[in-house]
Amino acid sequence: MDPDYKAPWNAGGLERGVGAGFVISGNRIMTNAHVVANSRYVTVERDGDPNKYPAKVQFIANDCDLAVITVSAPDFFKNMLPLKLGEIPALESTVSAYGYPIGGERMSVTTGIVSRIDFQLYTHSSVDQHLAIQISAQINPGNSGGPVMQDGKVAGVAFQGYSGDVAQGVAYMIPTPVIKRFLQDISNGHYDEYPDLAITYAKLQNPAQRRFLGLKDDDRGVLVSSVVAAGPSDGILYPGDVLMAIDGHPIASDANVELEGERAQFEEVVERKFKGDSVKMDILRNKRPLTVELKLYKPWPYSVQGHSYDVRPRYVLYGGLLFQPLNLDMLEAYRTADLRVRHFFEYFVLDQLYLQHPDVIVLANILPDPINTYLSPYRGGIVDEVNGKKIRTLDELASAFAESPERLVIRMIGDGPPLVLNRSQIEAARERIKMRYNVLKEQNLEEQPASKGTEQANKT
Amino acid sequence: MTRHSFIAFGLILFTVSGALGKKESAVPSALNKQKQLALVRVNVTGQSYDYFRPWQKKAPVSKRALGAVLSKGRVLVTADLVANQNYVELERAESGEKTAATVEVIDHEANLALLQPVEKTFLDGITPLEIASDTVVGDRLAAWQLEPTGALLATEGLVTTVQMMPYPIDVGEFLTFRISIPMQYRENSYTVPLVKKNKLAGLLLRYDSRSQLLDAIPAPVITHFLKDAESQNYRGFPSAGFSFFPTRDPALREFAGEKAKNAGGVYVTNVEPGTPATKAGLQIGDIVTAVANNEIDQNGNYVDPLYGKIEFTNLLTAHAYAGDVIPTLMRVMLSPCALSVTASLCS
Repeated sequence: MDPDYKAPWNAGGLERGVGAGFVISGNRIMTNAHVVANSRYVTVERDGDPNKYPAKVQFIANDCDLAVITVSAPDFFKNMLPLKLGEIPALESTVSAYGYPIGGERMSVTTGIVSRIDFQLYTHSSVDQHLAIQISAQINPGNSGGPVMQDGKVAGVAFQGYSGDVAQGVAYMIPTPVIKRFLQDISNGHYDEYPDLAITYAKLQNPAQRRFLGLKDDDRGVLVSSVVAAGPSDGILYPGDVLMAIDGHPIASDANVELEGERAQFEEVVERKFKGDSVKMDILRNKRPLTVELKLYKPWPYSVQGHSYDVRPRYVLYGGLLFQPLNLDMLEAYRTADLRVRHFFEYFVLDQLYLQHPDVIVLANILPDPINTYLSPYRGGIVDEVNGKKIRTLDELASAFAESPERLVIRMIGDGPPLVLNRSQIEAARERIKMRYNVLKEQNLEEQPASKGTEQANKT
Repeated sequence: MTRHSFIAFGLILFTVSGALGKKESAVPSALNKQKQLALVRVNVTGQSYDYFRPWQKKAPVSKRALGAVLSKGRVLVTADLVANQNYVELERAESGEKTAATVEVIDHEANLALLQPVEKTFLDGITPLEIASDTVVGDRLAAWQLEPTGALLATEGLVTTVQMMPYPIDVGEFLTFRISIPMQYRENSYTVPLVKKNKLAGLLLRYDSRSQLLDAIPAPVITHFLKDAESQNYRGFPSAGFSFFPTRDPALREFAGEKAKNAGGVYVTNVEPGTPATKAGLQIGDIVTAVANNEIDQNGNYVDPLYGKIEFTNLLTAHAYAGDVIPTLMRVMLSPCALSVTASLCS
């Protein structure tokens, strides 16, 4: 069930989807996160077995589109040999993709070759980039989560491609280093997500700039241009620092390092690490060499710019005015074109807008009622303060609405007029608005997992 | 603590008693035939800058258009016709005789320009067009175009709307006539005059052939432009320098200190520094209730004697001139002192 960001009190639309999966060690089934994200009920079927077995999502990694599900029926895994994970296949070598393209009862196999190995955006979250392998085997909806095999071992998990009108014969699989990292991450019973340095940097190929920074003509180093305050580099790296090496791997001026004989972007060193791991950086600060160490974690503000799954939308409805924190799902639901809202979204992390507005609270919609009939010009506005008090989070807005003054003066960002509400009128209209629009709940401040409480039912 | 205060006055008046009287055909009759049509062809070759290579200009583009001949040997065209021009030429419709012309005054905001022939006698024999300033909704206007022979092609249309609408360069809005008219395509119909009983009522701004709706720069805007153009330095259309918001919402009105239920006025949301509005003491949160002796309703409209409800900014753009002092009545909420400041408008 995908949440309905335009009527966030509703449970959301019911949808049914089919993907593929494969058995790995420990009686577990691996599939894509996007196959089981927002799921209420999951069943698995075996080739040649008429039964549908209820399954449970044990771990889900939305940032790398992988999930592990388990089946409680004891005989499901009988006579099944788990698949083994291989290495990154060579370019031009042949691979076979297994799955259920466009549904169907019988398994389908397509083959192709390894076309390219590169960093790609993982569209499930729309904000994470990891290594992905492009293959020429046909992949269609229903292949998702299925194994791509080479020499009897898993070479990757089929996960995304283009619709036919964009590109043909371009499909992607998640390579085994990403899969192995996921399995290692969950081995402690918890998925901790990918950490990130949370910096932006510039390549240092311009000779004049290199001289200015006191660098030799040796093609080494990249320049830190910004450091995200909510990230692990805050207070350790500063704009203007030149990164010379990461964990002892020299960083070239085009931001590449050499890892196991292959050139890769230096972030790949961080990609292979886990939350809580350290990374050592050799840097040049004010032309003086320095070694710093930082402890990795995932900075929270990025999650606003990606899709969220298995969470309930947060909102406050007051006097028919629907206030929602800005995030990708909300933006897509309303197809917001408002430039101010888009600016807050695009520059949320880069301009550190989250420091002033951890929640960017948008008056997303108005449920019409006599008490708000003249308020439509305020739609799309971003709440700045209520009765002179700055509002940073949705909780603060809910508290401001719960306080006692009769008149609420809401200032939006920009030069618009204040939005003025009279509490007694709103209180008088509350039940009427709830009834008219079938609003089940006037606010939700917690992103509690939507699936909580449904796990019981799955264990039948 | 509300006070009524007056910001003093200068005056602009421009009322023509217009009434929806009996309708006469806008197309000149055969009896009324023009010996020399007050219409010339205007040939313009221009080059705009290439913003990808800002040190160079794009290839020259030529446009053929029409111009309305006014008194004192002036020819009125739209500004976008002669924008970025390198060479402008006038051509007599009936004889095909040509002469070079200069752009005397151009106003890109109002999209109007005045041309003059280099050869002073070039327009001799043409009876210039006067301005018809009494056009109202329901009037019929004729669009004047030229056949390849130089003969007149007149099409009649109905004025459906008079409202403030955006002009091509999109800074604020100006008074606009919207006319329902089935225009015919002719090769050089760029600046088409709209004529009421042989007087100039407007100039084509844009035409949508699907809806057959034509927007025209109306006579009041043209008159303002011409009057200003007569002065030594052209200053253009003034503005006061504040933004506003309707006061329809009762809670906002009450917040701004307005007690009366049906009182009009707009809420001031921003006052630009250094503008007449700032100098007059206007502040955010004030309610402007009257401009140039016209009361403003909660949406910001005044009742124009000719056109009915029109946004009050028309009183500042089409009716006032830079430097005029405009009486503005407002209720002040934030400062209790009496304001008796004159607001001089700047362009």
